[in-house]
Amino acid sequence: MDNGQAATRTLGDPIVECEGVKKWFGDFQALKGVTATVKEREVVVIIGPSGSGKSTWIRCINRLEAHQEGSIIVDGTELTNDIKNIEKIRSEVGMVFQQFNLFPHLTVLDNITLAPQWVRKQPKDEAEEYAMELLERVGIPDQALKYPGQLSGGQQQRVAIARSLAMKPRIMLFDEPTSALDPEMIKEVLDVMKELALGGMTMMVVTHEMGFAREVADRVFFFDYGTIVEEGTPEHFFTNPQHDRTKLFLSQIL
Amino acid sequence: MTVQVREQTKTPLWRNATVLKWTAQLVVLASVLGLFALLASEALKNFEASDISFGWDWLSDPTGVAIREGIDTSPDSGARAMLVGIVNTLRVAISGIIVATILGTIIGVGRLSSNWIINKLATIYIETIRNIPLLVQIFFWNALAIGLPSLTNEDLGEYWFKASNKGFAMAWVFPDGGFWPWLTFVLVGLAVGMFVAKKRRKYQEDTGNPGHGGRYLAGIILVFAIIGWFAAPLLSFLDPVFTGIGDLIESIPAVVIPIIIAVVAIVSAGLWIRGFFESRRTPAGFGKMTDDDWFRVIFAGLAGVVVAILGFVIGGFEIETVSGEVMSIAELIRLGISNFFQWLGASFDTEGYRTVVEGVRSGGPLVFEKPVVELVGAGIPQYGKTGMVITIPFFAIWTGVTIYTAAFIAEIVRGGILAVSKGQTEAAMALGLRRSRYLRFVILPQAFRIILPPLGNQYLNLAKNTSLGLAVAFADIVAVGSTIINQTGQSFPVVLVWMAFFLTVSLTISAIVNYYNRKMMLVER
Repeated sequence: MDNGQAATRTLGDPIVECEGVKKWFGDFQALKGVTATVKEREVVVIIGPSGSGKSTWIRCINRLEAHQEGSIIVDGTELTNDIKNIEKIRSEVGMVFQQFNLFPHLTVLDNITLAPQWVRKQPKDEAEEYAMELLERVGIPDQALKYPGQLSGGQQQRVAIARSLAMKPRIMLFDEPTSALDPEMIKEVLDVMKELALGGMTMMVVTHEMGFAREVADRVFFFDYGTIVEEGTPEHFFTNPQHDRTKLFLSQIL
Repeated sequence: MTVQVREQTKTPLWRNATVLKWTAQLVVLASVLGLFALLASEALKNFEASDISFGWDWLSDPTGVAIREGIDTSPDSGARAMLVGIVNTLRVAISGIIVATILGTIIGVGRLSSNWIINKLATIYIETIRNIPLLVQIFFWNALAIGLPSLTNEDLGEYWFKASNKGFAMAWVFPDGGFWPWLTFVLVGLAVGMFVAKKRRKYQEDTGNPGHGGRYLAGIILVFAIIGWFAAPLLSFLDPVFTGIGDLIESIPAVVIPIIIAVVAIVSAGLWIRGFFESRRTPAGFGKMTDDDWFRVIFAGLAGVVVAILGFVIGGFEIETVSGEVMSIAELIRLGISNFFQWLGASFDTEGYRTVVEGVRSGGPLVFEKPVVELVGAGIPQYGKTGMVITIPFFAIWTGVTIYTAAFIAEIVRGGILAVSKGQTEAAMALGLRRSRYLRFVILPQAFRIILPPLGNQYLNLAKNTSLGLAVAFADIVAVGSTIINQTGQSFPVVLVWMAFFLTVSLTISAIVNYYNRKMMLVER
């Protein structure tokens, strides 16, 4: 297994540290004590059956869901009820959603410049210049003045990635970014994500794209019943899984 | 050598889709017009047979209608009486729409609140109000207010606020003699302020520093208002200007009025048709017009010509005014426009500015008045002429329609906010936008698009429901009209005026709502 791309990156200090994170929805326990550390410039792919808590976990990292026990420290700031900490972390953690969640009433350009202007207080022309640079990077500068409804799914997801990058985040969270896409559009989004990984972005990716996991990930986490059942390099994971549940899951999807 | 030309089979007329479509359009148009003509002629015949006169004399005849409240409590003609009713109806409708929107929005948002008490209170409000018939609620408010104590000799005096079974009297600010010159200053301030605020917004966008556009706007208006308060008499030179325009208009021949109407009608029809052709033009060339498109073009042209002709026909009608003069409609319109300018001139008149009106109001742009209770006529305690007096009927109908409509608006607002997907909030939060920002830039603009069409419906309902004022003897257009019917027996023409009025109001509301709706539409593929 060629893991050359990941090897070119040198990992830095821990940037996301989770310790015994627990979360309940009513009387259903979604997270049963997740302990994990993600290092700077690391690409972590999280897989697992649906309902296993993998999405809930990464949504806890920018506080879209509040965890109830344990601690989450992002870039040295602990996530608590303190609104100031939450705002700081959210502006440093970008997130890409399964359903894109672009703002349909704003043009592509305005979608991207909204947060830099109002959170980072960037001047409009500066924000627009950087937005165009990002659109160039994700390959759709010609769509800048269109509305999201006029774009294909793949293009929308690339705009969503550009929108997150506009905040110059230190970590990017991807919550099943290709699950709502037609098969022929998955590749264009994965290519953008690969490029991002090569550029040294810290990424946590929930996905069912095993090819992406094999090719790009530094580490793979396997989630089941609210905990990390097994973790390791893609090589270890796909060729020599240890745990029965991992084996069962892989046999079902591969 | 002969070339065999394959003859194209000709479609018979009865199977030709184009012909059929045109025929259908024309048949529908003709039968609708025909049906109306038939009904009208039958009605006229029946009126004649049953000796019911049908006419418009009641509009200009002196009338004995006394109206309890309004701009004129003893109007000199039927038309004037109807005008008083119209103003009363519009007062309820417009202020009701504004208050119902604010109240409804607050309650709608309250129903989404995570605060248990607020949430439950909003729910109780909505479920109670919308499940009781409006007429019952109007009677309820009426009964509640009538149950207040009556005015006695012990109540004589001046008040900030006084409630009794004669209505609610409160201190209020009224426009006074110098109001219009002062308002001119304020409006100029508004224009300047908006210009500066726009510059500040651009500054904020360009540099990222806060522009404080709103504060600049408020400050500039305030400065202009203060200067205008003292400098208002400076505008008195506008008096001769406007009066001159009024005199000039009165001197032009009356025939110019229908000519202007005709020109406007034909030009606007022409512009519409040109715009329509433009909208069908694509970069590739002129798009193919469908039959419907041609129908629209022809109809627009016809409508323009018909309005132009009607302008001349109706403009030539002669009627007798209250003072016994015979004037054509065109002359009346000319007189009206001229009078408007004369009135405008008088508003800027320094004399008017300084003259104390009716011995009650002082000079100055605005006057603050407190209500008094005084003995009127045969020693009965009544509210005096000062201050704002809200009568019981006005209170009952206004409170009734406002509270009722607010309950429906609340549900619409709640639905609109809920209809914006949760993903939008999450995406905005994930970008680090704080609550006030994402509500302003992401949620509300999208909720507004969803809310607008049903909100327009509620506005229409409110405007139409004001006619229930009849039940509590509120002097709206329906009540005044009923009185006129009783006095003159002219039921059909009065009903026509009612219908024309409510149609105009409703279509105006519709047009405004549709305009915003089109402007806010989402662009999609």
